[in-house]
Amino acid sequence: MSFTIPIGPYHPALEEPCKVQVICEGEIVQDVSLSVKYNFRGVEWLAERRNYHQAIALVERVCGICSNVHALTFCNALEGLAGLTVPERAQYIRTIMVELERLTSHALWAGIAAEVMGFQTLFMTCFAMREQLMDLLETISGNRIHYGMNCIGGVTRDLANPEAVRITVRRVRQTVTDQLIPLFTEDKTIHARCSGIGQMTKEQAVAWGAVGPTARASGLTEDIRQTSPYAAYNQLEFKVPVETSGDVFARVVVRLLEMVESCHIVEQALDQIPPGPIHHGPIFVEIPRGEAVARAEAPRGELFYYVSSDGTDIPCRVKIRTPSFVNLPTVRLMMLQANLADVPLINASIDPCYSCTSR
Amino acid sequence: MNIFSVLLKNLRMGPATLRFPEEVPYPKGFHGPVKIHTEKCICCGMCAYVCVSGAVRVAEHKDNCEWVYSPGLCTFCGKCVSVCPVEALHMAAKSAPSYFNTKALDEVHLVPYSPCPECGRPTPPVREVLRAKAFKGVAPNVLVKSLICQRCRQKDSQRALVSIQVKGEPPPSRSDK
Amino acid sequence: MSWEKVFFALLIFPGLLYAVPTAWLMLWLERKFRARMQGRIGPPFYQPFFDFVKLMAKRRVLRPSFDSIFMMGLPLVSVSAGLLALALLPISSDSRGFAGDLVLLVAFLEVPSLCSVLAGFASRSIFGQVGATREAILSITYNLPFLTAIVALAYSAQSLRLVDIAASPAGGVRALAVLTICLCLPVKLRINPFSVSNAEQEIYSGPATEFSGPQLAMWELAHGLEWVALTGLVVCLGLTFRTGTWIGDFAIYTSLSLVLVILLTILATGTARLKIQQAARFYWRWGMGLSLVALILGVFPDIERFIR
Ligand code: SF4
Ligand code: SF4
Repeated sequence: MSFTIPIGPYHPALEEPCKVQVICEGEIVQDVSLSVKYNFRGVEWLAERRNYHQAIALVERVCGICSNVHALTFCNALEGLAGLTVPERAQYIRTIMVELERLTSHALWAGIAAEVMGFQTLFMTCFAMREQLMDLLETISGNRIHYGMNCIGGVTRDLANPEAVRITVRRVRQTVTDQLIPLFTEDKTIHARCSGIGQMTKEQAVAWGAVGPTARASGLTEDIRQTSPYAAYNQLEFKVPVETSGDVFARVVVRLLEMVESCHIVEQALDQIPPGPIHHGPIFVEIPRGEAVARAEAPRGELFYYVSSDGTDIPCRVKIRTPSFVNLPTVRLMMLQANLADVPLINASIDPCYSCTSR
Repeated sequence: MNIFSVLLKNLRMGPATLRFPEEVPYPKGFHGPVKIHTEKCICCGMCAYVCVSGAVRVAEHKDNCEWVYSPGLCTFCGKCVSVCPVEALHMAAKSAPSYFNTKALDEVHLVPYSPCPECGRPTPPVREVLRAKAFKGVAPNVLVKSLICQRCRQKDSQRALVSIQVKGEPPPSRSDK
Repeated sequence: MSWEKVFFALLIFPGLLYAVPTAWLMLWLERKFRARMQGRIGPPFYQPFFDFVKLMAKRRVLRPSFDSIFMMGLPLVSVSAGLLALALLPISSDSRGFAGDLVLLVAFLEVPSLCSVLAGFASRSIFGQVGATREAILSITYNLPFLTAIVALAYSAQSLRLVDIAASPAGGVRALAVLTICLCLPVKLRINPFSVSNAEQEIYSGPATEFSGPQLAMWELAHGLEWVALTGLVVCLGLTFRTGTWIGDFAIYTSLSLVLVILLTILATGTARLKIQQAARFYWRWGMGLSLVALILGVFPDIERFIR
């Protein structure tokens, strides 16, 4: 007997507007169709009707979890166009913000993954840790999610209390290494749910264009922070965790290790951050006629911005390519022949962000 | 560390959550709703220019200027505060109350114009902070001109042009800066 | 059994008057303890009662009449079965029971699961149907070891009467059988790691997805009664002594049941949900293994004597 189970657009495991139609034979998935069209907001269209300053705040709203990296990449593109040099200190602050954001994002993901496996306690542990990071980001930027830290040519707020960052990051690293990593990798029930599920080989990852941790769990080593450094990444030492088994478990491991690495990056950045201005000078800069492209490694993978300017204060065209959008098709590949019980988990394993996808 | 030691630790440490009306203190520099000091504002409209959602609107009238703010539209990005040239804006240390109707919380502030020292017509105010910033090292006889209204300023420049080009008088002196 | 005794057992202790508050207490204890172990505050102790009252006051969803008979009837049957099962439990030493009450008890204990399967199909929701299928599959898997353990118990006590089994001497058979029954508790109560049939993240709340208002309140109550009945069963069968006084028996019975609730909560809090195949494999391997050993020991008591 084959039947179709709609998972979403309103579903407890997928709190976001996405519909996964699963066609099942018994409990085995035969085919999947995805639709992500439920929350189109026309951000790109709107950005072409706002001046550059407004557009920064606008693109920050593309995503609620990785908001900062959107604003950062957009600013990077604009700075490239205008030929500005951003002061060192601002670059470091941007790096710290982006890494803290990666930590919150991965903590959120780990919590959701645990929740999808029905492991509520682990969900609570992850979210308790995430809460510390959110509080920290709130003290740094004044906001819990849309930080509003980036502006053309620098950042809007200085890092007032680096010690607080250091303390929280140390605590978070401890939670990750002492609790999350052992729990996720050693717990029997988690192992039973994750390993061997949602396989994607390296070749498939290349063919389907996977990016970010999803690709790195299949053996690809691409990380924009290393291949084309932005912000202060060229002055920082860090490893890019790569796993080769390509299943859900590998994705869990890659993200957990990335969290440790992020803590490491933040600590280094705090050690190296130079004193100085946080902004290049005048707030209003002329964006000359031209085109620019910027890439960044968002928590979910490569984020890409294209901006074209006609010399006015309103962009001609803004094109955003978000990592979730490229990762989502791989879900279909991974779900074929999977168990119905694994469908939410496989979907969650690529850390899909629908507000990025359907922007 | 296995899960049971985590459970035990949680039991020992007690709950990390709070009961409803209790709340965590807001951190310093929290981005709450935007507040204005009308006595500082110069009605330049910069805040309205950078505001992404149109939460701040500046409308000029004959003898005052209306600064309208809708917390229901605001995204609390803080852009307006950071671009205001005279630091007339700041953000409240607490979050805005929740609302049903976005219009219900709208605030309208009137920035009164001051009379132009020359013609007496109401003119957008010029504040000391701005004068100190923008007219640094300008001779006092010219500095007076910074207070006059736009029309008087235009007239004044025309008069100066006429006096230089037609009558051949030397331009009003500027100090060396 | 006289009529008064039957009514007392059914309506007062351990029936309605005792069981319903205890059910709520257990549901609360489970939620509260789980919350505390997760670093949360958790609900106040009257919460399950409030939930019940609130659900009872909700508007009924109109359905075709045949469906609504099923959807109201099934949870009610489930609640009554729970109460009947409880009434049969030999808690105090003066309860006598009747020959064959063990069989009846096992049947009553199975009714809630059966009702839930029927409800899942009757609700005509795809999630309810998947949940019902899972529940049915699980019910087959866990009932084999469960029934084998009961048979082993009955065989070794040479009686189908609960009091006789409860009074039979402690030994290897009894220990193994009770252990097997304990093993079946999480899946019978649908808690982690075997909360497969109501896996929220996959199929909402499975068979109960379409239920709301008073019907859902009844399901919750039935679920609470299952807690009381199943923990009570384990305590009754596992406890090898009676204090002799009514109050003493009552106190020991209740406190041991609550301890069992706490143990089950710890298990549920410390695990992720398994998949149905994994759950089935677990019961076929461990549950069947244990109960078969118990059965063999029960049928051939000489082996146990030999080992000793
Ligand atoms: S904080 Fe941002 S959204 Fe709010 S009024 Fe200021 S610029 Fe507009
Ligand atoms: S508040 Fe500041 S930015 Fe806005 S109009 Fe007044 S002076 Fe200009």
